[in-house]
Amino acid sequence: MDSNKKFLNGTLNTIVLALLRENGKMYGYEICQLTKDKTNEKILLTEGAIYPTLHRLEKEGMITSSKEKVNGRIRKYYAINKSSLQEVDSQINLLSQFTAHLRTLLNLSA
Amino acid sequence: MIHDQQTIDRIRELLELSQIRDKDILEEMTDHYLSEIERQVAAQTNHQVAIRSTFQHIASFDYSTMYTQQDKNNRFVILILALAILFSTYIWRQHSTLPIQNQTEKIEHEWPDGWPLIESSGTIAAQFGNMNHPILNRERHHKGIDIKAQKGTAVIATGDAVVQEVGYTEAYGYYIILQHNDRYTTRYCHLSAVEVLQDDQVNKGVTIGAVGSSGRATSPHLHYEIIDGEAVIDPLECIRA
Repeated sequence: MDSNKKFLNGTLNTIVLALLRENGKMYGYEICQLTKDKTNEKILLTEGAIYPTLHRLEKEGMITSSKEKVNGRIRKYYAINKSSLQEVDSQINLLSQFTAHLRTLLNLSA
Repeated sequence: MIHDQQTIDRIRELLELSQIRDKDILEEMTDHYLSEIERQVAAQTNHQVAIRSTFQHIASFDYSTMYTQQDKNNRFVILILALAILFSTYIWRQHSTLPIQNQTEKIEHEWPDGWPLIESSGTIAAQFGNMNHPILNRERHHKGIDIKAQKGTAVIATGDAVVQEVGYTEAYGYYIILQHNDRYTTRYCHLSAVEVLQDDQVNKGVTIGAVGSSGRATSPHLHYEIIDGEAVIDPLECIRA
């Protein structure tokens, strides 16, 4: 987890944006669970990482939030801001390309 | 799944103990932990066990990198703002008080800057500084300026003043000494007439006497001196109007 944390630092924003783009609106806990499930519990996003990221992205206008009442309590949902969709796409593409290069480099050195 | 109020309150309490105070964030985090309890219960964990393990998780979780950091940033911003306000107030006060201070200093130490004869009359016959005295016929320091003018020409105060002294000496003849402030006094000598008394208040431009040749003088002129504290200074450097 600790070494994952190091790699997550620069990529968490993009991971969150990619998940939101894929799944439409999501709430914080859902993002944590989805990440856990998709990575076979190898990448665990903690509440200490996910919420500040979501709030920052919202502040930057990349995502928007809405509140809904669920099970008698308020739940905050996040979704990609439609006007930022192009920027989100380009960010995801950049990280995707970077990951491909990274894979090549790691294979070479292996 | 509806949770009992006790569980909800305890979660909020634990979060608040961890310095999470923002209402929206508290709400969001509470939903997060209630969702976690729900997930565990759905995975067949005993409800009470799920609640207890979640409480334990909150109590031991390090939120310092999260909102306390944001708090610190906010505190830092507030501190910077406060310092900026203090500093600008300080600067503003400096700027607003300085001219007043300067003004009072200027008023307190304003030198008499007028020409001592009415209607700018007279011509300078002897400058301030070293000169050859026409009667004593030897080099000496001239303590003022001599302004040659017709006998009877009105001598006026070169600045607002109080008459410090009126008198007669063999050298100066009839003379008047005006005190302008703590620092400057002026002397008017060889007068043919004196029109003020000691302690009279005179304004700049007011006639105080008349040009003459009383005392050690060869022809009608005004010997005019400005004393700055203890030292005589060149009156021509002081005259502005």
